[in-house]
Amino acid sequence: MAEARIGVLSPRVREVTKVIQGFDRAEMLELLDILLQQLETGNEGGGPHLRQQALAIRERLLEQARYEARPPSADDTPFVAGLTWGEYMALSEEEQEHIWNAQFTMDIDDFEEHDVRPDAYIPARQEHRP
Amino acid sequence: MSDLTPTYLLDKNIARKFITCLYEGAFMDDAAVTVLLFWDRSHAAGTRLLISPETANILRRFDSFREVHIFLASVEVLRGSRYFKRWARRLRAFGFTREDAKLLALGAFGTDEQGAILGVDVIITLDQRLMNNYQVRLPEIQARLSDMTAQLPPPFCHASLPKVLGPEEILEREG
Repeated sequence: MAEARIGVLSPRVREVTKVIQGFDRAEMLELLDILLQQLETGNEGGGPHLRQQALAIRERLLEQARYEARPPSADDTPFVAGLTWGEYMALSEEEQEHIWNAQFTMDIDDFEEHDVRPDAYIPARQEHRP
Repeated sequence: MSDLTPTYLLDKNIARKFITCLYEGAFMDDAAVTVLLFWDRSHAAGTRLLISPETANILRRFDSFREVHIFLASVEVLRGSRYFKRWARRLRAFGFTREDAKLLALGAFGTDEQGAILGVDVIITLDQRLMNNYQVRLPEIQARLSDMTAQLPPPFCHASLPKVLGPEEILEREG
């Protein structure tokens, strides 16, 4: 019966189904408990819905870039740490973050200090006002 | 630009996440989804999004990448004001890393191109450790800032601490 239904499942659920086929009863019950908690906290559908929104925003931004005649970035263009754009993007999240953070080497004393108008607006002060 | 326009200082990994999620598309992770939604809602609301001079210097080298260009076109640079360095050094004494101290100091002693603001409303970060450390030490940090600003001329004597939040908290607050 499960086999017959797999064809109508979403790709993501199909992937999960393959994984859980090896679960024993205790693991199934643990998973069921997690799913019920997710449903109770109102997370059902929220994730995919937000992802769709994010993808729509991305498409809009890239379309705007195309309108401004900015071509897609080439994967073989040099980027940070001797890596190309494509090589950097192929790294894991942890590796990307590590390499990115290593670019930030300025010492506190390397920063310039600039004048501020006497009547400058102080956002945080306004927000904390009772 | 109205004085009441909210101001958010984005940390370097918010910038990285925004840029990589434009590249990754459907493969973007949950944090990237949150950053993109946060950016879009802030942009639509007219919020001023700012980055540090260091983030700007690094990203400007890669402005030919369309993902980087899109990001840079949507942000301003928050420069250090007078007393930025003094405050950053004092923050180091609270156990903040050099990177965190620079970010937090800009949040209180940063200014825009016109010198029309001092500090920001909120620092936006993905760094949970920074958020926790800031929240735990906030009373001490506030006391230290008050001691320092008591000696300073206007407007620096009014400098205040920003909030430090994750992008998801902004999304939750704004519904």
